[in-house]
Amino acid sequence: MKLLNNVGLGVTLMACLMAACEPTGDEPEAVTLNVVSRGSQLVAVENAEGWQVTLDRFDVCVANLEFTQEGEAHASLLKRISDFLIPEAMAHPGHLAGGDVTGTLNGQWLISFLDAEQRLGDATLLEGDYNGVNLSYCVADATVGVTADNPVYGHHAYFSGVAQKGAATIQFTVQIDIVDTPKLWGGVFEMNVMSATTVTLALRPLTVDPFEGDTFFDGLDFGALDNDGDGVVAISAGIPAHNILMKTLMSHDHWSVVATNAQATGKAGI
Amino acid sequence: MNLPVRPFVMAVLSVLMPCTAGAVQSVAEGDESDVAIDLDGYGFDDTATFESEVVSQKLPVTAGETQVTSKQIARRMPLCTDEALTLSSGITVVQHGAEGKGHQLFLRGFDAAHGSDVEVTLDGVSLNEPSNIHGSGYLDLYGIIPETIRKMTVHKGPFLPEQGNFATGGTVAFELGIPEAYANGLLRTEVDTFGRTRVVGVATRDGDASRFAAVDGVVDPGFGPDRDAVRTSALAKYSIPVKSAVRFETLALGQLADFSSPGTMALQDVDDGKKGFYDTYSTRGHGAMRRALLQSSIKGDRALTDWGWQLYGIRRSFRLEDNYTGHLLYPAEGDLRRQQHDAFTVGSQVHMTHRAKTSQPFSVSVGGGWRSDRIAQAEHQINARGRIWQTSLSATATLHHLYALTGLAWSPFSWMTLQPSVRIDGALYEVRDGLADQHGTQRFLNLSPRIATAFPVLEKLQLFVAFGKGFRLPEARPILNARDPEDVNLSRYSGGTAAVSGGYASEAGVQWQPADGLKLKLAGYLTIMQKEMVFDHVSGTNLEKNRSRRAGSELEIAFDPSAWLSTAVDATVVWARFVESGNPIPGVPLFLVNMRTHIGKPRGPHGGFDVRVVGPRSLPHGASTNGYVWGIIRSGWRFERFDVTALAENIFFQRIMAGAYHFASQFDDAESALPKIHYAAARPFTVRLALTIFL
Repeated sequence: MKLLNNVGLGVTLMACLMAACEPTGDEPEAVTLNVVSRGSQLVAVENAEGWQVTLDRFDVCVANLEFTQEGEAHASLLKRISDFLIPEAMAHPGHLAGGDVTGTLNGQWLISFLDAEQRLGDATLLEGDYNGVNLSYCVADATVGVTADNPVYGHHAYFSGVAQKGAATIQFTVQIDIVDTPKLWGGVFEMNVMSATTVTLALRPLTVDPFEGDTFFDGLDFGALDNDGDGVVAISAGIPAHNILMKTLMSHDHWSVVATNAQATGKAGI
Repeated sequence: MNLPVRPFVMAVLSVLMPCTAGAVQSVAEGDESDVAIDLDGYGFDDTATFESEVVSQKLPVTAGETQVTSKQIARRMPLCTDEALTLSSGITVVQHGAEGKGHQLFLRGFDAAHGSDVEVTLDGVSLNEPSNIHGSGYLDLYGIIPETIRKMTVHKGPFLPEQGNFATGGTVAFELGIPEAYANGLLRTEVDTFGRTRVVGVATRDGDASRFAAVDGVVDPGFGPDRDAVRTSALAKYSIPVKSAVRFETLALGQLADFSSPGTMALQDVDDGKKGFYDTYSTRGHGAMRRALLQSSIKGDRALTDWGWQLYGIRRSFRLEDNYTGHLLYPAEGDLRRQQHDAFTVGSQVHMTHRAKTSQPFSVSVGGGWRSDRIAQAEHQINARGRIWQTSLSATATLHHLYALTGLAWSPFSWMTLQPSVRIDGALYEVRDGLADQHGTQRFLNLSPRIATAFPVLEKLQLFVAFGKGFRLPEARPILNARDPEDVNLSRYSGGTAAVSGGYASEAGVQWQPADGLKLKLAGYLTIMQKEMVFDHVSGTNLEKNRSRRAGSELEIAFDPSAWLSTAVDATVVWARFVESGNPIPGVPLFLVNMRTHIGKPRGPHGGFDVRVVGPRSLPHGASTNGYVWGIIRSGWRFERFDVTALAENIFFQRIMAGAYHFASQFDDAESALPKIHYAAARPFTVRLALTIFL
């Protein structure tokens, strides 16, 4: 009887072991958050050359947002200080620059940031402490509902506005065509996303870099661009001014994502 | 006992190992049952016979030291040396490729990946490959034929002066020599239910454990798709006395392997029924490696002074094509990647230990060495036909590493032994980037103070306390890419900062032998790493992370009540966390328990089992996986001249996720690009039959 009991115990233990050890895993919870566009930070600026620049149109063809966590590549306070003095790589390889991609919103949109807010869709983010956002630039064409008569058609971005310096006033238009990889890595997105988070995220271009204070139009002397003196400048691919603006548009300090109606966030957006 | 197969065996070995044909012949003509083993220079009784254990079991120097004897290895019958590693407490090995690719190692809370935190030496030569493109410190132990291991010593933690680069988690030292159980050599054939076939031959000269040649070969169709492998290794060692108490020793090793690379499988795809547990994504992954190693040394062992001088060279070629992410990174072309690494290494090292004639035991050791690794490496994106469409890395480097060490061993009292030491390492790297046409050099210096103390307070009770610094020299890559801008795609990852990284470790423990045949050991340890190094299989490189802390304890119980029964249990618990965030270090099991039992005498029936319980593992981004139970049971009969053993592996019929990871992949267009759990499957239930003929 004792032997039978022992055998029974062994069989039971074995069954428990086998049941307990079936391959299982716990994934972090996925949180769905509404994402909109917002142009509130496209404020008038005075660039380094002294031109007061005001935008009246800022259209960018944007695709596939990625939200990233730095994870354990966070710097300690001491390290943050030393990095300020001597910046060094804190990024991951491959597509993971700025952190691991743990949130996405796929799609393509032509976003007119100075028009009304545009809903981009529902992003899915894993719970976690976020530190960055990546996005791709697309060519504006029929796939995003753009017709050939639109000045952004066939380009990645189009913006226009007025630059003033003293008595000089320049009306300018810009068509951006990005060469090489049309992608932005490491835009600003500081937020602790939890399962209870119910905020709306707003994608915002910034005319002023919140960290270094430089502006979107630094390096441009609009007067020098107005060769014929008619007060109208058209910037497009092939001239140095275009390359300056293209690089600025792809600079991570000029893009951010913020929570707009924070209810359960651990950090405030910038 | 004269077996009819003997002439055949000798003929096979003569063909396989022409250089040892004479040795085989001389054994055949010699005494079959009582050949004395010449152990001059090893400090052992030179009248030892087959029935005694050759390897001495001296007292450990630290609480974390474990010695695994050739007898223990022979009982376990490992198919490769990585499996033998698990005979030590606290070590977990994971094969996430196929036979031929280096294993993933876990020790004391370190995910040493392919060797970044575990130093492995073979007869004193470090096998870790600095700056290997598939992870700095990459280890490939397939070249070591398990039947030729005389002793394996595991030093957990960096507490001894000879522990060098990559010994942050510890050091595993292999010493080669033929065990007494088959001192004249053997021929073994093993076949399992998946068709994996292994043949190994070992021949000695005059039954001398230190003069042997061995060869093994494995053909493995794989237990699932994309897991096939072919590999072979050849080893030869020759040791002769050149004068009184001085020996010359030379070792040659050659190995090659071709293997498939199955990649990993997303657990969700299995749960959804899209894939079977042992399926793959058919990514056309493949690997190949070649290695040749030649080592010569001269050793002196006089009454008061031991000394040795060693010279070695290693030629190695490694090529790996794998795709862990489908077409996530490159939607059009796919993420199939080829890594190539070629290295030529030369090195030399000396050591001397002098014992003073004093009333209190006192000795001083000094040593030093130089190693130069000349490497060429490249990383390409390739299409399904193997054509390169993008090159992300093409570099050459010369890495010089110099070290010097000194230490004392002093027993001021009968109840205390002190072993303070200091080690200084210097390195000079010269790197040339073939893509950017850049060239750079950088020097590094590292000082490692260490101390190990033992307190043999009673005859059968010892206490241990140790403290030491371990280190890793940096990879070559960051020298030219030290300041990557933070808003660019770092497809050419810099490999962290160009600086020596390391950390401090401490441990305390006690060993107690309350009765003959019973030994208990308990140890606790704390390790703080300045920078964590985590291997990322997606990018195939080591990622530098923040400061980390590991605290844990180990319990070992060995019970050998009689000559025919031995059993051992060990348990390791580790708390491994990043300091800043408090998050767990990915991949490290919370606990590990091993149970091993062997029953049987040197002749007649024998058997035993090993059971391993691996605890749950935390993964990045807050994910986790459960643990698993693995076991092997064996039963056989040892006759005078041959042995038949049957082994059953994975006896609990578990579907085991041996390696678990959390990253994004996209093998299906509709798939989410968010990270998810991926795993590398362990071998399912397998029965293996091994036939051994003792020469």
